[in-house]
Amino acid sequence: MEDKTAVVAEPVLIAEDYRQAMRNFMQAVRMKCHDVNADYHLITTDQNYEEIVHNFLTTRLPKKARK
Amino acid sequence: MSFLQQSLLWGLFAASIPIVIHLLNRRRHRTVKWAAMEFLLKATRESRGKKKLKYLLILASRTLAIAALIFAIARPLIGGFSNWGGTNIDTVILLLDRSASMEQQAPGSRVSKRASALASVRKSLDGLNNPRLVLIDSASGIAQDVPSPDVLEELSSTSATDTRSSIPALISSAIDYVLDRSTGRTEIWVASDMQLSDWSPQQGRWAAINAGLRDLPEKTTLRVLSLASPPENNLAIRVVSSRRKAGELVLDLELLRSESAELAAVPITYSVNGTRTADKVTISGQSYRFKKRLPLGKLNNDGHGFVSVPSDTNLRDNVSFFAYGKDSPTQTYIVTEGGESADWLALASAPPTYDQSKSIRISPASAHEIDWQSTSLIVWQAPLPEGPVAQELTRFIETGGAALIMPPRESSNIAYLGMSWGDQTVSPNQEYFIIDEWNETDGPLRNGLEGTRIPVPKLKSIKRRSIEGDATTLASWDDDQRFIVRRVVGDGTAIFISTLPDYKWSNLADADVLLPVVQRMITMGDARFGSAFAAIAGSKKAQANDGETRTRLDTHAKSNSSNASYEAGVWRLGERLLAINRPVSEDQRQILTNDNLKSLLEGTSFKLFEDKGQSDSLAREIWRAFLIAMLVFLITEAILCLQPKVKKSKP
Repeated sequence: MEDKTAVVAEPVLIAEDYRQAMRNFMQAVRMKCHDVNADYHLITTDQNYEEIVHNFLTTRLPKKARK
Repeated sequence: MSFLQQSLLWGLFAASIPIVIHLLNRRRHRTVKWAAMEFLLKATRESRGKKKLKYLLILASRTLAIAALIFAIARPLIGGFSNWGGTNIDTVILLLDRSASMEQQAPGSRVSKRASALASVRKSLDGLNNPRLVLIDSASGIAQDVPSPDVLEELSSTSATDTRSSIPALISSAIDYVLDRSTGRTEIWVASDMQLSDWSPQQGRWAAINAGLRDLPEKTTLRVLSLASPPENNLAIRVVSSRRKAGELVLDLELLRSESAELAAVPITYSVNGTRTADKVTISGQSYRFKKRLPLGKLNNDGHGFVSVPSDTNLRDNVSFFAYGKDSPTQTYIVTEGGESADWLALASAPPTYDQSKSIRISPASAHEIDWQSTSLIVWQAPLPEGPVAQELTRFIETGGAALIMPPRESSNIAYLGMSWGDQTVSPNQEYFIIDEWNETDGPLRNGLEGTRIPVPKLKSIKRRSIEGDATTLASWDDDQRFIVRRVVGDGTAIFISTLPDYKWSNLADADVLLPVVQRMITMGDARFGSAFAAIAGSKKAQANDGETRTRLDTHAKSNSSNASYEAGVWRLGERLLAINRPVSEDQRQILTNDNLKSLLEGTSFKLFEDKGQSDSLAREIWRAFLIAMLVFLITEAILCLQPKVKKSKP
């Protein structure tokens, strides 16, 4: 979907490697956020994004008020 | 490896099914739109290596499992006589040993080795591509085409005989056959019980045989089917000699058994001119020799009979035949210079109690008057013969006659049979020459049947002559000079004794030594009259001459007319009466070992198969091994196909 590249793959054969590649990516992102003192939140696409954004903004508000 | 159901091997095409399915599956795929290409590309790169290998192993296991199943269904054979060889043979030349020893049953089997060999050969030929079959049997030595392996066991030229076999002659015949005819790819199969006397390793012709095999125009394989298992529970009987003496028949018999077990009482049946009697003999070791005297009555006709023991694992050696002629007195000629020696020699050769013995004294000048045909023993106490008399004497000995040669009183330079008399020696005063050493198992001074020794130490001599020439020493004086020597000439024997039965020479006349020596020599010479009625199965003497008809006289068994020439029995051949027996060598169990076979066939490529007689088939089916292999491949495939446990990935 990113481009027109087509790959023939056997799902049974590549499933584990695919998951491992994803886990490695997520681990790398997490480590990078930690290194730059950034907050890290792992959100999946099946969660309600309005609620997530609301909670995030709400959590940050008291910090600004104390200033 | 060969197969019983060779046509089913076409099913091996089914082994390609997993490969075909795999290739078809590769063409069938579902298109899925995918966003996270980075991970997908990474995953496909990772799986390329070992995953592909795993998949190939799974594919191979499936293919091999199907192939193993097809092989198992085709019923493969291993270990056969024509094992692992090519099936593309044009001619098989079967050399069959039909000797009497091949009738021995193999241990654990009720069929003879010969029958077992024929069955094995027939089964092996069934697995080949219908090659031409040529049979050369050991009895006739004639090559004959066999139309089908199925008739092999029915041919008269494969039936049992009482003959011996000559394997070198058979292989030579096979080589000649291949050279004379275009036999194509040929195999020579030898079926034999590996008896040493049949293979004759000492024969010089083996070098020529090996060269002949190597030089054959097309590649010829030699296969040896060895049926060398030792006999079990076998008892053989043999008539060593038979002679008629004053109204009775004296048989010299020998019993041989395969095991040296404890004492056994063996029932023996004697049949003389159709009248049967029986008694028992106790045997303790592996062989036992004894005499049997059978009354013949007053009629002076020729006659015949047989001696037999109960049937066992080899029927062929349970019987031995004999025949005899009319009674005639034993005749000894004493060619002598005269004097005391002649008297003692006459007495020793025809003792007063021996009515059937006659001795005739003549001078050397009258030696041409000897009736050679009717004489058993010639005693020559004179200068050695020369000229026509020497030739006649030699011919007499060659045809089985016996000669006892004693020293002349005067010196003589004449040589006879390569022997001559040397100087006369006299013992020192008051001393004697005595016998120090003599052969107790062979020769005229041998021990009696019960082990009784000849009282040789009693012999004392004061005068003797040395014996010059090459001969076998049978007894020696205490100063190592020869006392008795032997020269074997043709079928007969000449004995030289270095002193005289004359009290001016020795006490040889005391009869302790002289009587047994002379009587044994007479017996030896007499044997040729008995041997006139004896022949060996398969020998020239046992064949019917032109114009002679063959009729079996004994009541032991009936003969197949086509095989009669090779069978033991009492036969009338024209005017001749013959007791035909198996050769002595067939009772002597000496085997050619595998190492000896290899050295005998040095430089020749051959394959040896040993039939121990414990299996119905030379070949073993190994379909079970292929089924197990199939199972292993399927289990391997199942294990490789197992999905690894998927670890739940934490968000």
